Amino acid sequence: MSQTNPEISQSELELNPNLKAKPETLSKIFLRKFMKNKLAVVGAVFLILVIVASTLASFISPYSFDQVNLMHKLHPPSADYWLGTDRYGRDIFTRLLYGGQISLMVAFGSVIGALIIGVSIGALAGYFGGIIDAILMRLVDIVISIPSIFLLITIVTIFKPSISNLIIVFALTSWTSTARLVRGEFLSLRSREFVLASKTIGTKSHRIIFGHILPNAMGPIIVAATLLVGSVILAEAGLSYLGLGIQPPFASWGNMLQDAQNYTVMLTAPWYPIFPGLLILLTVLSFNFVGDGLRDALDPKSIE
Amino acid sequence: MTALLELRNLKTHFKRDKIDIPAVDGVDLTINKGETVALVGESGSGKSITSLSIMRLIPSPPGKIVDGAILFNGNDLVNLTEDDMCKIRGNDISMIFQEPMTSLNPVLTVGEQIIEVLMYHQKLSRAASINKAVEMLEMVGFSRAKALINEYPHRLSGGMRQRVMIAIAMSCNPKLLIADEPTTALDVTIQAQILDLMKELSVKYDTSILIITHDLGVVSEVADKVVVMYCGQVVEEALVDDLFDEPLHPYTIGLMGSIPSLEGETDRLQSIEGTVPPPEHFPIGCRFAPRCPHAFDRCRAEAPKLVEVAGRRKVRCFLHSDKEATV
Repeated sequence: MSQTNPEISQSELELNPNLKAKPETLSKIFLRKFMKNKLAVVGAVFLILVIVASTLASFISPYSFDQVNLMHKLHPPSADYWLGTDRYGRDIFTRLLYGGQISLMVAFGSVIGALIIGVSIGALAGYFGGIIDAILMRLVDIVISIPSIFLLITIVTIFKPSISNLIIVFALTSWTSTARLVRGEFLSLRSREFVLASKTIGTKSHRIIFGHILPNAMGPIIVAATLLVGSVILAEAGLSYLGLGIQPPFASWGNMLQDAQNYTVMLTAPWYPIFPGLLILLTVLSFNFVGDGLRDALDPKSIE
Repeated sequence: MTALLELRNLKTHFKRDKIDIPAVDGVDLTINKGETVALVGESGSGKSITSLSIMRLIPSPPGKIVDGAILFNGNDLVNLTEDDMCKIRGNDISMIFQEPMTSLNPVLTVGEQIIEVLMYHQKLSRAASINKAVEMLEMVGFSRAKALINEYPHRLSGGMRQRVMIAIAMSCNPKLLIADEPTTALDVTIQAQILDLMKELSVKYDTSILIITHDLGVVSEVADKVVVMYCGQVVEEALVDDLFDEPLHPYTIGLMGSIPSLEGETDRLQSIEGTVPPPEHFPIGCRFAPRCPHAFDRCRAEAPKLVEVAGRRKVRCFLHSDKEATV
């Protein structure tokens, strides 16, 4: 009964030899599993490409986004204009890059805003439960019941549709699903033994919520955020299509589509509506693929 | 010896559908400095709720400490604010659990989880905390503690995780360690190692231990004093040798009869008839009466009190309180 303890841990080491190997960090495990999902990898590569190209728009394209050239209006794709020109002779490729800047900025900004609101409310509701949960969840119910498209239109009509206003509006209308998701995660995580264990060492509530439980809920939150980016891009495109989004001459993928919605334009210059539409489609699809890939890679049940 | 922790008539009730359920019903318990006390009983006897009450971690609602005092070094923990309680948890009283597999946070490294306690209670710098964490891990028997700091819990075995839990619990040198079935989930050889480790640390740091278990083997190995609980009440309290030599309460006798012995031939192990009644169906008289082979009329009509017998032990049974009275 009186073996010395160091020997014991040596023997445990021998029983568990993989401990000798350099520890594989959680991020390495994650990356390995993510790489297994080919569609997600393709999506991620495409998204990185779009983000980098949009960011470097001014270096990639010789034109500016509002450079009008009426001599070359509705010019088909060519060596000079890779994706053709629009009704004012502006280069579509250039405008897609600059539009990407705005569309992605709106999408990321809104999702970050929605996450801050949604995670805070969901975490408080799920962790404390009881009356706090009841009040916060009724708030969620109310926000969900507001027809958001009309709210969007109303707010954008009253305040000028600028990038920051769009971000605020989207953040305020799209946090509810995150709040519900986070609440559910917290409800199940808060009764786990490690939470009780961290209470027994005197950890305070805010540390438990943000330091102990939230990291465990990050997987589903990241997945939801990725999917939310896709849906905000769609919503922004929809709003711009209605003429309530980003205002010309600034480009966004949505208002380019709207600009192309003209009978003669569609018939004589099909490249004009096709390319912005295709880009929206591929970007949203990529976000969804990446979301699926993240879901598999971050699933704790599949940690080997 | 001076008392470190003293429970006086502790009552913790749970509310379910507007009915009060007395999970812990008037428990008196004293733990002296440096002493190891075992709290023994079947599932549902109120052992774990007693320990969570001491930590003031009863889920509330529905649970509530409705009466009694928890005197720790003379201060009543029942009246402390949550903030003051946080300063005591982990620093003066700490706790380890049954399931080492789930008591560590899966997404934080082992080091991170030890450092957190040290930085919070001892106000150490991060660098000093890391050094201290390595020291603690070495003390609980890890020879490669430095590397272990960066490991995630899923790479450790059950025994190793329980060691890490002990390292966390002992890192602030607490005066009392509550161990809630610390070895139940471990296999037998690891069990013995963990018990030895706890014993060794308690001597080294003069830490008192309250060990909660239903395993009488564990009790005989580590405890100085045994408190047997049944249906939320203490039914017998004795020094470990006295209890194993001569259990007094029929329930304790039943518990002893249900473990196999090396001496003598026993064809069948005895079992205690019936099951622990749920708190809403506690009998009026002695709570053990329906399962007791010696129960007589008075047991069913009147609840016995915990009385002192033979000078140094206590039992809650008319068989013994009557005998004392008549002798």
